[in-house]
Amino acid sequence: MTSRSPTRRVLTHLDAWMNRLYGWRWNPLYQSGTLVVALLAVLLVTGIYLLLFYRLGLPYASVVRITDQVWVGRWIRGLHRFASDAAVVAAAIHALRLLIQKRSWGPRTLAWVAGLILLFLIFVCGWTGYVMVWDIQGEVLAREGARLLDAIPIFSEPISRTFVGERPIPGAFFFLNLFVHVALPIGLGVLLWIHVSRVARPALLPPRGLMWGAIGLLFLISVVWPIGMSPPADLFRTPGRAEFDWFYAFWLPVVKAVPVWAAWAGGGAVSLALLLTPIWSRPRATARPAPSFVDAQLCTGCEQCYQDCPYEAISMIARPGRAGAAPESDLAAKSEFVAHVDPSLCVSCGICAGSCAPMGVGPPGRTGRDQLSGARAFAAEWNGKAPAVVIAGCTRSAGAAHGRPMFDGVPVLPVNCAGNLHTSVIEYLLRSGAGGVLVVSCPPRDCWNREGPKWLEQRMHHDREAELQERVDRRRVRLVHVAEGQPELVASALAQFRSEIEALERAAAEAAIDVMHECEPPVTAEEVP
Amino acid sequence: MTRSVRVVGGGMLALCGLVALGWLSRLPYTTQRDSGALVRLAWRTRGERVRECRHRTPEELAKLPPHMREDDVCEGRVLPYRLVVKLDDTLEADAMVRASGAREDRPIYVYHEFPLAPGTHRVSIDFERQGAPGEVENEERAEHEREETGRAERARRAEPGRLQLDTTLVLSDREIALVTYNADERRLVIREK
Ligand code: HEM
Ligand code: SF4
Ligand code: SF4
Repeated sequence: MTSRSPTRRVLTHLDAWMNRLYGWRWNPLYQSGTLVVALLAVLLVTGIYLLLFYRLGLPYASVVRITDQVWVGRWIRGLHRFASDAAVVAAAIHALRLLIQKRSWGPRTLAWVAGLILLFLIFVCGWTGYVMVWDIQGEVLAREGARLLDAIPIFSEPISRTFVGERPIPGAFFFLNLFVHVALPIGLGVLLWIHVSRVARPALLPPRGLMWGAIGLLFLISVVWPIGMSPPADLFRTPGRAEFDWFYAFWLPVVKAVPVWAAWAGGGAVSLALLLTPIWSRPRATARPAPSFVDAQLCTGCEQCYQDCPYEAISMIARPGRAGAAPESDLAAKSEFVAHVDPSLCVSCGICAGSCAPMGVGPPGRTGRDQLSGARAFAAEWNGKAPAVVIAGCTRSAGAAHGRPMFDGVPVLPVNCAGNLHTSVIEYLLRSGAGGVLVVSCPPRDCWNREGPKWLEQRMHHDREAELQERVDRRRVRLVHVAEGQPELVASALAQFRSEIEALERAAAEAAIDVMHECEPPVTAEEVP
Repeated sequence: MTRSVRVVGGGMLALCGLVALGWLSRLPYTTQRDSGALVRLAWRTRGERVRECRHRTPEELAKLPPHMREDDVCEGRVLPYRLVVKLDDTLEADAMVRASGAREDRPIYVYHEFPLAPGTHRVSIDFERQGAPGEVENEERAEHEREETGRAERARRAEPGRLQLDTTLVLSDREIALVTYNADERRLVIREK
């Protein structure tokens, strides 16, 4: 059994339960990042409507007016509020997942830092949004914010003086607040672009059913349990007991209870720790997986790895030395371009190893050739007695996650990521006598390398380059997606596949005897329960 | 897991999540004391500006580039105030209030809050300018400058060297009484809603 951190084990269980309830396609935990994008879109649309009715000169009264529009304004305001709450939750889950999965360092540092800034800006949007309402919560947030900002010696006049009641609150304050609330979403868009700039083909929206389901639920609560109005801000009354949105005001009780320097010190320490995550969360230098490399001798310049790399770490460059080579030389006969891996962008996912038919690229020790020699050693252990079925399992899925050499009596070949698996390994296992190969990958939405299962499936069944050869009997290979916490699904898929293979073997054996079938035909795969 | 279990379980979980979201989105919390009143001291004064000059030593002068060799160095600052606050004859604050700005040459801002139980309270405030001995001379010099820049206007707006307030307040629950400076009357006043 491989060791797993306690947080990882908790996440595994949560994921497994969500998969059981919603299926992996709709598991909201897998979709936390894309859900944030969908929620931000909801905020944009509902926000435009609210802006039409908001009055700078009458902040509270105009929100009361919106809330009094029973048919439209009230639920739009509710949807705006609940979508912003849900966005914070989803963003926190998204960040936590990536941290637990250790996808928070190296080439992912840019995404990590941009993500943190995104989250912070979402908070600022939320705080300014509440100040816009100018109810008690808005006043408390404004006061506390002013107290914190006044500790920075850059303002000629303390901001807190705005709220002491000496004079009416200047219109410029509400204007500035509205400006920040409305202008920040533009910054969010730019940051989101930076956030996903290092990933190829970013998935920005969740599957439609999940997206509309989530929006539908938020709409439901906006209608069934609409938000009302807290009492208006009052500079001459202490806030007393008031309603707060804890997704945005969670820090209030702590910060209010401590001196301003302590609030800054605490907030600074937490922010610093989060920003430095790419440093403290990365493995020791000796344990870091090495980036991919290209063997230019083998590379035919087909560009497949360049297209498949989920992190855009591969470019095609002119073949070194070819330009000046003699026309009849070996070099001149080779392709004009070769693949080139930028080590600073490569996360060592190994997906390129599975992309390359001539096996010319991949992380050290994990190229197609290395995989083949691993498969040879694996087959050698059968001692001439080939198993009916073998499993090739991703070490993060239920396939090989548990590090056992056998699963229900079937030998397991662990693969770093299903997307690494070179299809010739599958063919080799069958040729070595295995009756069938069950490939187990993570659910595609939870691939730590983003696109492993997707590309593997296309290579196995849709002729994507480095495809499983046509000569391989497709009835003897099967790909299933099973999360780490659901070994029972591997067991059932295995049982099903095994009986299909047995039926195949029986049919083959009967065909070999070449008897006339006058009785019942053999059991077919569909009939197996 | 059968389909019906999934539908019911998944639906229940989604609804629970939704209720939690709606609940945490408006959970009441008591920000200051449950029932409490407050005296808030908040005012701004330009204070009394002084210039402090001293002669440079010959060594100091020698270190400076020739075109910057002036005999005197002068720095302007605003004199601090001493703030003493007594509530019901208990000393609540006795502090120096210094002018803002790194060089203490910006206006003075007073901002203090004292929570009180609702009811009747005696409030006494003393806010007095502090001048260090030896600064008088400089003050005279500043005075001289002041004369040059519109004596009448300055005199009208000049703030008293001492502001005092001694009064009795009746505060209701959650009421805030604001003690502030009234520039027209040149004294501390209480402002309630
Ligand atoms: C707050 C708004 C956020 C949004 C809308 C968002 C959205 C996304 C999306 C759409 C992706 C690409 C998913 C894919 O196609 O694989 C992504 C990736 C990523 N996000 Fe976020 N994210 C947000 C916040 C955060 C935060 C707060 C963090 C961490 C502190 C974070 C860390 C990452 C990382 C490291 C990746 C790259 C994953 C990989 O390389 O495999 N994100 N995010
Ligand atoms: S997939 Fe292989 S052959 Fe094709 S470009 Fe990449 S390294 Fe070269
Ligand atoms: S291992 Fe290959 S596919 Fe993965 S990031 Fe590096 S170059 Fe790209």
